[in-house]
Amino acid sequence: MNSETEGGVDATVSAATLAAALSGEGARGPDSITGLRRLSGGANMETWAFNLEHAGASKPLILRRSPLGSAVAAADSPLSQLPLTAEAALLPLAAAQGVSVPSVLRVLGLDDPLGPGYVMSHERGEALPGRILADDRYSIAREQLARQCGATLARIHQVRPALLPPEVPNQTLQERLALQQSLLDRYGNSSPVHQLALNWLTANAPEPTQHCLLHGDFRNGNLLVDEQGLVAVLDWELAHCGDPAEDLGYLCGNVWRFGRADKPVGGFGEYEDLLAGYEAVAGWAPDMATLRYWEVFCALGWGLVCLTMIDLYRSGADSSLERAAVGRRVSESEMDLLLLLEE
Amino acid sequence: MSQTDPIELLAAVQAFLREQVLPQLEGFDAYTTRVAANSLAIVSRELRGRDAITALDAAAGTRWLAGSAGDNPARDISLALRARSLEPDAELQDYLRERTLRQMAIDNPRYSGFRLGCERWPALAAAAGVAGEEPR
Repeated sequence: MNSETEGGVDATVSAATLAAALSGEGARGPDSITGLRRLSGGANMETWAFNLEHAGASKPLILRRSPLGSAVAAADSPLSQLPLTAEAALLPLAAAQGVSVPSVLRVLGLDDPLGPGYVMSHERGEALPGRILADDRYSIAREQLARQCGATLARIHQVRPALLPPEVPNQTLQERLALQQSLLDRYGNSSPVHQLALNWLTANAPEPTQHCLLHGDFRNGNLLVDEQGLVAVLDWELAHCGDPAEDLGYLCGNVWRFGRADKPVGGFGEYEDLLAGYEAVAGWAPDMATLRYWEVFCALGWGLVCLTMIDLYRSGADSSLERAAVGRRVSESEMDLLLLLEE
Repeated sequence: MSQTDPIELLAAVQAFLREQVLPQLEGFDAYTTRVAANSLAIVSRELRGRDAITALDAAAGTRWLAGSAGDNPARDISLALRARSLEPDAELQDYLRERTLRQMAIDNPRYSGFRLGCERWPALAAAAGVAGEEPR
């Protein structure tokens, strides 16, 4: 995860094309772009790191782009992502609420040779969960993180819905449960545990409190951390509207605790700190029962992501070993669901 | 001597990947090679454990679907739950727990949830002959 791929610079992403795209930002030609390398990413998403040399300074930047013609997941797929131009529009909205996010330098539209995509600042910090959870240098950060995550989520949830790009999905819980049922049907109803969980989610759906912008993938692995804690929130491609408690429950899903099941918040923190951090900003916080509801939703969602990846492999759309292998993680979701449903 | 059995072959390829190929690689290729070796380990465990899950499913089909169970009792139970024609009573839940414990023992015995499941349902874990391993 997040390892760098060796060599293999794409024909279309080069110092020359990047310099052309960033001419308004001071790039004067291929020599203005140094250290270009591709960071690993999905088949339909490229992430590149490079430096922009300008006025004697070297500015570390990130390019995110989806090559034209690359396979795009259907809107009803759990792997469906926001268009990158919409993702780029969300970052300044979150920043305006005090959320630490990379700053967007330039949005590349469909008509741009490198587009669609965007260029943003390359923030320093650690995103690998294994290091965040184990390294001594993050011991103080681990004590702060749950509370910081709560406060940060509360700020994300304060973005005014009227400002959101129209591509941000906006469905009721009932619509999303119906979608989950249709996915279980599409994938052959192979898991009685998944059906048991979906029946429970349907029977126990909480009354919606608010309907607001959610990050949608706010978890250990998508958070940039330094010795003092949270530095920046990354990976906004699954943003959507919904119940604010969803983002909090998702962060607590066991699959995102990376082996530290004893630390419910991301493998690093406690529920009380997450909720206290949220309440300090929002003035209220979801109750534990609602949080647990969304943990169940998250565990089923992970199972559906695994099933969707097997389906991608079987369809021939993605023949990578990773896709085939993640199909064997379905049982993780079943285990977590059975544990949650007994509590 | 008999010919090499499937589990021996898988073990040999795993050792080759981990001990001879992996040290020469880094980055994404090293990661994918670890996934490859781990996938072979899953197949080895599946060869040993699959029959027990098939038998468990067949017994469940007989128990809850009477004569109507087809060749995929787990799917049929799933469909009965979907139709709400089957009540998930304590016995059915124990079946699902044992089935999932056995499947996890094949797929990823290091998963934290597997260890928790073995602690939560020790009698089922003992019946299934499975135990969670220490996480990596």
